[in-house]
Amino acid sequence: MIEYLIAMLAVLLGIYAVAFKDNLIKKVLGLSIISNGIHLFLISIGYRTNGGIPILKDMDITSFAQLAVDPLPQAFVLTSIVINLSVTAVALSMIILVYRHFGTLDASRIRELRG
Amino acid sequence: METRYVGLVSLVVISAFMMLAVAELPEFGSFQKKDIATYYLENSLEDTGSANAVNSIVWDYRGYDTLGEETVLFCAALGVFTIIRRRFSGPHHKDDL
Amino acid sequence: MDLIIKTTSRILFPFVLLMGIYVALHGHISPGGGFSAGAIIATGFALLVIAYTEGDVEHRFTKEELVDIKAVSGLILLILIISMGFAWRLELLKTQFPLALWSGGFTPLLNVAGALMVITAIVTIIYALVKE
Repeated sequence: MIEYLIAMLAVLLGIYAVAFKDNLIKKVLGLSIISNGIHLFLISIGYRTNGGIPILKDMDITSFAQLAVDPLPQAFVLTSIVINLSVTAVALSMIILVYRHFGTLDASRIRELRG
Repeated sequence: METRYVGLVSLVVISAFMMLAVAELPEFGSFQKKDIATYYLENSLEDTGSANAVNSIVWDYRGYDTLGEETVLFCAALGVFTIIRRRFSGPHHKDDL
Repeated sequence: MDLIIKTTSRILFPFVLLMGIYVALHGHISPGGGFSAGAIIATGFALLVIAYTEGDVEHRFTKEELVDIKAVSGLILLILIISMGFAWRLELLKTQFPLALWSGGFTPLLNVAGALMVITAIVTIIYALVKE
């Protein structure tokens, strides 16, 4: 149960970084931390005590199916990592546009400028 | 009634709800038999020929999900290239959009 | 940049490339697969962009033939995955011995195609962001 709490702690730190920091780049880093916490939680759900990796290596198949950990969440997390990369890349390019237009990267001062 | 204090109190309330939701899950390490995962583990060698179960799930049993993800990656690369683009200045491109 | 950094990164680049090709080709035996190999090789390219200026790297790697590979790699992956939907598995690479390099049906080709796709996307993003 303490392992799930640590994953939720990572999500909470990410939410704190998105809501309470002023610099725009720190907010984008908070989005990435939220995704990392969720991936950790998903992989640790499919764990089996005293289990092995899901690669067949000099074992027979029936005992292999009773000893291996769950391979399905690992496949979904692989897809989710690539999608997180795409979102971060587009967000960083928009930050470059904001800097060209406003001249500053401070979230509380951009509200006052209104260019 | 500053905004920062209201934000901190709401963050504590959200964290309390998260801890309550996680406490209802089963024990850590008690993954029982499920239908689909057992089928993938047993029949991965004779259907596809690869000993790695995760590799055969990503590229063979669920190949269309990987196709969609590659489309997302391709569109993100196109989008970055389009958003960062300097306007060319000169007499030829004067009446450009 | 310094002379030491330039020489060291130029020496290290083929070994990073070799490690990426190894991880991509052994995707059906050991953990790894297409996406990890793409990330490793893209990091090798990022090392070269840090040491030299970005214009030098692009001028060195962009001859007339190499530019077309960037546009065509996504098309290769599309054709491979759609033709896989017609249950066309290679009889040559079917299970002779499990855990051998010559096994795995269609998956080694798909691993290499996926790695190519990830390399081109990440290198394009790095060029566009560094050129500001």
